Amino acid sequence: MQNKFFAPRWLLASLALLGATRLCAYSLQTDASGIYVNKWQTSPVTMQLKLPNNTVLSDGNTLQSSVVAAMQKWNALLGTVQLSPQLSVPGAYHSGNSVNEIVMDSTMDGDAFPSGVLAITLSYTNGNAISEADLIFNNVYTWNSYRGSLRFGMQDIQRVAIHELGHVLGLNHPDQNGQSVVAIMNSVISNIDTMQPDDIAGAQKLYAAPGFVPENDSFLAATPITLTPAYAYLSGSNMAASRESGEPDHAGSSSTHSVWWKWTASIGGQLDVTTTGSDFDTVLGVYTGASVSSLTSVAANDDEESLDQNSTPQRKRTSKVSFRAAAGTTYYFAVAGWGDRDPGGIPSGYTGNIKLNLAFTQLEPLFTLQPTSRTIVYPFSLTLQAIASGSSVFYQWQRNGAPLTEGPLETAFNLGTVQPADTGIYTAIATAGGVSATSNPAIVGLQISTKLVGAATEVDHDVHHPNGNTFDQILLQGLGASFTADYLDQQISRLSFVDLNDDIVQVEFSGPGTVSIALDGSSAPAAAVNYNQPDVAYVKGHAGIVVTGATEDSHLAIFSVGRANAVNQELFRANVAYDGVADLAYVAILSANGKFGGLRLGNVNFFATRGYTGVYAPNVQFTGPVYVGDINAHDNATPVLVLGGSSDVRITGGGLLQANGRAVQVSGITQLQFTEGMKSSGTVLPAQPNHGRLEQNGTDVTAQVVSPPPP
Amino acid sequence: MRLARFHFPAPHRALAAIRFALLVCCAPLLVRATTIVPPDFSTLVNDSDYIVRAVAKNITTDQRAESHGGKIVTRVEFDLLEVIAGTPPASVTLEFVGGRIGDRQLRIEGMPEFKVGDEDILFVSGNGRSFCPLYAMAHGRYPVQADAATGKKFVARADHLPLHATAEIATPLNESAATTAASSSTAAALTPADFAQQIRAAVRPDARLNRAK
Repeated sequence: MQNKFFAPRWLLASLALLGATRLCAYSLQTDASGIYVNKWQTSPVTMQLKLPNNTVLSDGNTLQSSVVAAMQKWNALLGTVQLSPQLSVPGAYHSGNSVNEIVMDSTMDGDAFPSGVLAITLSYTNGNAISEADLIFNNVYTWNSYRGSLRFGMQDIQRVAIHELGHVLGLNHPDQNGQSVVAIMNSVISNIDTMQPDDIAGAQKLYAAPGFVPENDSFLAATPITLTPAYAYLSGSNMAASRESGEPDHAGSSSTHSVWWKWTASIGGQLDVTTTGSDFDTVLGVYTGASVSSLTSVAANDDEESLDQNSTPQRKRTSKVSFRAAAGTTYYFAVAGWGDRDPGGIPSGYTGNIKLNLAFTQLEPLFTLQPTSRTIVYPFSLTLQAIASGSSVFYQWQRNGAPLTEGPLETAFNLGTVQPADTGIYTAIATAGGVSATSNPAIVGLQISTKLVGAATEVDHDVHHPNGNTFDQILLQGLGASFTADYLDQQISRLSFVDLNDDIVQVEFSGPGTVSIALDGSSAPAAAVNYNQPDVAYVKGHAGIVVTGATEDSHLAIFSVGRANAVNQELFRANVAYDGVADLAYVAILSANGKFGGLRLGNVNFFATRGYTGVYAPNVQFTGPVYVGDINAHDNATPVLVLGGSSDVRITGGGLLQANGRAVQVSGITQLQFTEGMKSSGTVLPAQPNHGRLEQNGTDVTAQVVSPPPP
Repeated sequence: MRLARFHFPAPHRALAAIRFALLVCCAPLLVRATTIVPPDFSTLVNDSDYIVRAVAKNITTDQRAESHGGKIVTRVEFDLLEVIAGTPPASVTLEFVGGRIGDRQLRIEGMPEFKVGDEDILFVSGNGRSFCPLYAMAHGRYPVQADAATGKKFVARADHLPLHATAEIATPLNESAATTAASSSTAAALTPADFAQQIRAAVRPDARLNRAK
């Protein structure tokens, strides 16, 4: 038995029909491909009106003014094109004369109208650009001008003109192209006397709405792309877009209408980018670089398929590029239309609706387990772990960029009982198929419960400095040591060693926490060659320093010993040109509460040939200043100035010029000042302009961070 | 709006009336063509020069020699399968204004477009004189199509929806699709033989096709 509450089939069919009707839409003229739309590529479109103007019709218009009103109705809805009436008198016209004419005649330029035809629009296109359109009203019919319902025996010229001008613009009959919509562009006439939402949507698909400008018109306004998980399907438009000063031709196109997207590769791999689905002949350029006038081309393409590959009308004239993306690099994608300066070409290029499709194929291993920073209570052991996806992954562990162990099963690295010389910045390198990826850096530091652990001796204590401080003097005697300060007594611990330029370097620490120092390339203890201090044996080497357990009460200052800061001037020799700055590889900080006091490294030049060089203190908020002399990365080193945050960050006397050209990785810096510095000899180092490119998460932030702006 | 083609079984007449009213409300208000006034069946038959069932076998595009440049025209040569009414020439080649030569295209919206192999029943009128040699443009073309499931041939309108009755000819294209899903059914569509028989039956003695030679 039929359930009486079931809707009858005919009712469901009717409701389905309602839904189906709403799904349909306008129809656009295309070329033979059925893909690429035909439209006007220049504006205004001047149309000569050769219509009678001597009879006032029902609504007060003449035939001519009623058609002008139809043009004005379209103009009010259109962004990148306008119809411009040029009033004339009835007279000769010709199809194919490159003049847009609107006339009333008994034939279509000599060809008879078929029965029942009220009006006709002839459109000439060259490529995808409409080059001429003529509109002929059939004077067999009686024409009037009125609004509202149709009237018997008289045709309303304005609604027919609106319809035919829709053809002039590039709109089809939706009802003859499988659509069921309420539209004046249907091939049928009704009481509809003006444009409907569907007509407007179609016209604005071709020419955008008045006032439209793409939000990604400029290079600096490039829309960021996020892949989910390895794909992105984006939409846009280059209608009303501009070309910037210094912007290159993309794939050889002279287009003046380009829009931009950008994407930063988190890992290395192949990126396939297409504009398939766009409704015009596109060009696509991929670049790296900081400004639109200094771009480096990565890839470019005009047409995905050449005529040799596909000579059918369906040849893909959208664009496709594939390239190897490097982890951490930001790529910019410019999309424009084909344009050329040849006779008959369109110098400004095609415009239209863009589809940008990205597909990423991971080529390098992806770390699914990253090594994490650790503070190890001495004397405990530590095993670092990292796992990367991919087949046949080969692992290598590095400390400060120097290889430690390697092998296909080395997802874990056992340091054993961590010694002061083991402290540093660790990374894992995963390699598969000849492509490598580097893990996040992990700081490994020590927490000691005594004053001193490792190859160092406290040679003096409770020394009262003329500046009012009281300090304990520690002398480094081997590869590494860890020390603390008597912070409850508000004392400073000072550790001394000799750097690679033979300067005695003092590391002064106060407050909670443990300082660990580890030397690369250390030599046996010996007298400092540039100083008159024969009874003190210093070790010499390139130091990396790790601070753990710090708070906002912790402070670190590092400087070389020179005439300007030494109490004992008899230390110095007359015939020695002192370097006057402390040379270090890095300072890394792990805070107990996310805070740190001040970091006074204004006399420190950081450099390295591998690993990280500079200050690496992610997520650490500095309540005091952060001063750094300079950072300079050579060979495979990565320059860093990574903080959690600080309101006073300065480069004192340096310019951040990188020997290896790499960008300085930064974070937590809202303003970076370049101020003067001083050697320990007293020589003033004038403030330098910035020479570095500052990058945060793959984005160039130089312009935002550097104060004053870079020259 | 023509109502004659809705036939409801007597026991369900009241329900059918409600159904019909709802269907009408679903449809846009369609009256007649902006560019074309659809002919009724009798006018279409009797004002045509000749009516044939034919298959497009060759299509060429050319630029006509005219004093002021010349329009692009497309000529479609047909194989005649059946002369339904009138007297066509021995060789039928229809000339349509519009087409593409290289990158240059002349387009008239609503102009029928043919592919080689298309089979149609054509109401020819004014070939060589008119910019479209089919009566009322798309209203003079009725594609012969085959049902995908049964292979049975049926007659469609220029929008490729099945033609169920000659009365539909006077309605705008696509109107039936907007009003009833049943209109897309091919089961009750006219066969080419049915349509030809009804065409012949509609020819009046004073028809143009009896005069045109």
